[in-house]
Amino acid sequence: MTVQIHQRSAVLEAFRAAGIRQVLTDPVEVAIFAKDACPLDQAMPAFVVVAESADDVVAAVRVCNRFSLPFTARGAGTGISGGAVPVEGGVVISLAKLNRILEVDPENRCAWVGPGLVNLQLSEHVRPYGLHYAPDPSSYMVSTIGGNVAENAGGPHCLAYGVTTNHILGLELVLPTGEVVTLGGKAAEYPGFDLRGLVVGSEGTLGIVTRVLVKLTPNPPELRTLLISFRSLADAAAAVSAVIAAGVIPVALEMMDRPCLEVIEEYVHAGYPADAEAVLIVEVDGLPGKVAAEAEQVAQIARAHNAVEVRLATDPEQRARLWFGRRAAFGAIAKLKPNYYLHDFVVPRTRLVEVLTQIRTICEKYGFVPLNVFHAGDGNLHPLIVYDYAEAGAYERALRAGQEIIRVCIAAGGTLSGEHGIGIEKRDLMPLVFSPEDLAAMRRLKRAFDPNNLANPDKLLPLETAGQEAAH
Amino acid sequence: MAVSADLRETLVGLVGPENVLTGPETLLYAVDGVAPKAVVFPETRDQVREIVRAARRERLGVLPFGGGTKVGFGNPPAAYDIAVVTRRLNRVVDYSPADLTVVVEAGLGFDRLTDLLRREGQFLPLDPVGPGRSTVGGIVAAGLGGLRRAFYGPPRDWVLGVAAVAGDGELIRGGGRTVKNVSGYDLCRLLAGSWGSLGIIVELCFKVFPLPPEDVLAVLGLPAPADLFGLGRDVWRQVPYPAAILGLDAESARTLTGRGPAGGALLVLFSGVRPDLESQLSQLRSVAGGRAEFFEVVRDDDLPGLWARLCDHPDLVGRDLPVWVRLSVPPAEIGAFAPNVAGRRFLADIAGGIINLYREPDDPAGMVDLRRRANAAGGSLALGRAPAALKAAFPAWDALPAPELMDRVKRALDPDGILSPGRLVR
Repeated sequence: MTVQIHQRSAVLEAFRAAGIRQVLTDPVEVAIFAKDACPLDQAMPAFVVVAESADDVVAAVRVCNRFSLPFTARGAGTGISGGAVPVEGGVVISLAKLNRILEVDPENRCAWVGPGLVNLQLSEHVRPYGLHYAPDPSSYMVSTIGGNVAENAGGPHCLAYGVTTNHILGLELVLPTGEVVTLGGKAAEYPGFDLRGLVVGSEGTLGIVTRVLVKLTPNPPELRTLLISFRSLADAAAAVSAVIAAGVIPVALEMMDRPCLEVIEEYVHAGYPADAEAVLIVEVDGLPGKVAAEAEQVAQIARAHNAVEVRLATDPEQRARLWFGRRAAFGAIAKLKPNYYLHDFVVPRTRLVEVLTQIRTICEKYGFVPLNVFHAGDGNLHPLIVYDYAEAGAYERALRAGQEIIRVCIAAGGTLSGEHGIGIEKRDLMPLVFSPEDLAAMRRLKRAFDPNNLANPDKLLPLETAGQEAAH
Repeated sequence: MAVSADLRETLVGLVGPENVLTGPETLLYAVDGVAPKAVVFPETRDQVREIVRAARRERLGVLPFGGGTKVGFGNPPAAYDIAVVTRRLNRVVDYSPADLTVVVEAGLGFDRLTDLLRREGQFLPLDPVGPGRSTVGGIVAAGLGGLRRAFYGPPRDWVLGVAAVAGDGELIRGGGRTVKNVSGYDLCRLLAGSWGSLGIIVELCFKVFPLPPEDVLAVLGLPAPADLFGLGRDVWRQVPYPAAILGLDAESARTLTGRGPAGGALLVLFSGVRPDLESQLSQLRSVAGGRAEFFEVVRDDDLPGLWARLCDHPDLVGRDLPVWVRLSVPPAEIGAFAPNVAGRRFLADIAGGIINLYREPDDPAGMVDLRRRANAAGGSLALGRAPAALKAAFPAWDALPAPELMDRVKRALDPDGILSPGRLVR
């Protein structure tokens, strides 16, 4: 879909008449909105509306409807499945300036915030109340709450606290046709379907969120972090299962494998044991008695599974040091080769070792060494394939390896995405996990929200082929 | 009600004569005084699909039916031809304790699931009403939070995957069997709390949790009713990690504990390891100070039975009272509703801002005022049960937010409006 030259000035005029002050059209300026952090796709939008208020978003959506222009909402653009990639010649609606904290309500442990607010800033802002916002995707220093809502973002601490949707109490949503609705709120129960729950994770395809009511979680009185190294991946994975089986749900349970550790040590010097085959970061929180008991239990289980070393951090500084390497992993990997392809799959926790072994075999077949840094506690794998785009055929090989890995994960009872979303990257793989009936139902839901198919079209669902929907 | 021979024949052809009722026993499945023309007990999801397809061809109204513990919710059905009872769809499909997941059919009783999980030291913290009768499908379809909702979250947060037969007769699935999943629209959350209006849930995958090492329940008797919600909120503010903070009227407190404090009872549940529990109890004592006239601790073998009776509040607290009002407000606002419960029987989740109020169907004007106040406070009021006359004058739900959108969503999954018509949406 493209904008004719003669229409361009009419659209621009309509944006201005609707009171929108900032519309970018200069190709140099709009170019940075052509892609997100997904290596696969890009498309040049004709317009970028920099919204300064929820009213701007409503006005922009209405103009898009008048001219039948597809629009894509955008936060920080850190998504890695192509969810924020616009339609060529369409409109990007940037929400980055809707970044205010509108209300903090400590008595109801919640806050209304703008979608452009950066995740970490929210937790920093509410710290004086003894509260924080629990979901902490690795991008939390830059990614926005609105983007987190769109992708139902996860993070290391979601094992015990749950993913984004568990922490979103309400939403103000601009429907794709321009009406504004408020879904959910500060009370526990409201009549009607849980459309709030449907919108979270819908990747901007059901409308644009202009205000978010987030749940705030009390800061734990006590927190302990363990760093445990193993001589084998199988031992580490068995320890993970044993911890869960013992009835301990750590707030975080992260694993890194040897190739990943080597890179982190070389570039970040986190002080991790570089000779280990696998390292676990385990965090337990809560009341002192529980934390002491669980930390001891985890250490014992680790030793029983041949752990070489167990390090315990109790104060914030030690904790920060243990987490530093994990948080810096992707940055370190970027120094290894210019490009990386980060995957995101979930498999049942009990199949971890088997799937990791298969991933390694597949990668080696294509001439790569996979790096694994992932959320072991919930079976959320993030195999990384590093490559150099300039090297002939490397990119294509990385893609092919990725496709094979996906099939292995699905065959192990897993799913396509744990926390990064489907976007463009995986939309055509959806039939691997969903039947034609499932997908048809999802399409009809999309149409119920977006009859003109303008809200971030061609994402999340496989492209329709002619004659498909005939049954309905 | 006369039943067409055709309908009976069709249903018998689909599920066999042993799984169809058309006689006076259909009265057991009456909803708001209306009995269905036929009651059918499918044993497989394919049978559910065939039943819905047959109903769609004839434009018959279908209501899914689990244990019937929440059947009083909702407006009277606009059409009620077939009750689809899920109780024979009750297999455990897959239980993987090490993955903390369990896949079960929708008609499985919550008590059976609880027994299964307990053998592995795990549980599903939903605390449904009528735990001995409710089915997992009914619990999710209603979506009501249990007594520990503020701590553990509502049913929707525990559903990882769902399979349902939509109103168009197709089997649809959402989510999966993994604890994290963002693949496609979240049909789990859409179906949770949809009251059978979008699909008949046939299978669910739940996330489960390890049982806490120990639970203790503190029962505080209050001398004056005015202080109950205030003390509950103080506890919420000052004592870390209560698993539940409940308020109970004086008469129900007497029924439950044998002691009748004039101001009702505050019940505070803690779960964890012994040293933490002792420290929480001592913090609770100091917050309560002189405000409680007695302070008892229920633990060990005495606790599960008492807790089950609390979960059965429609029978325990609401005994002989025909109206169940479920009020849900922002938790900090609950104190403002103390005058509305004064002298009445109620169970309140003070941490979660939910009041289950039981009463006679008198004073409809007072109900209208209560709904207006709940809405003004940012909350909602629903009827959990009420005589038909009251429902005719007083809608079971508040006005829906975004009604046109809700309607389009309904049509997307139930194009002919045959599932639970009129109960929640038209």
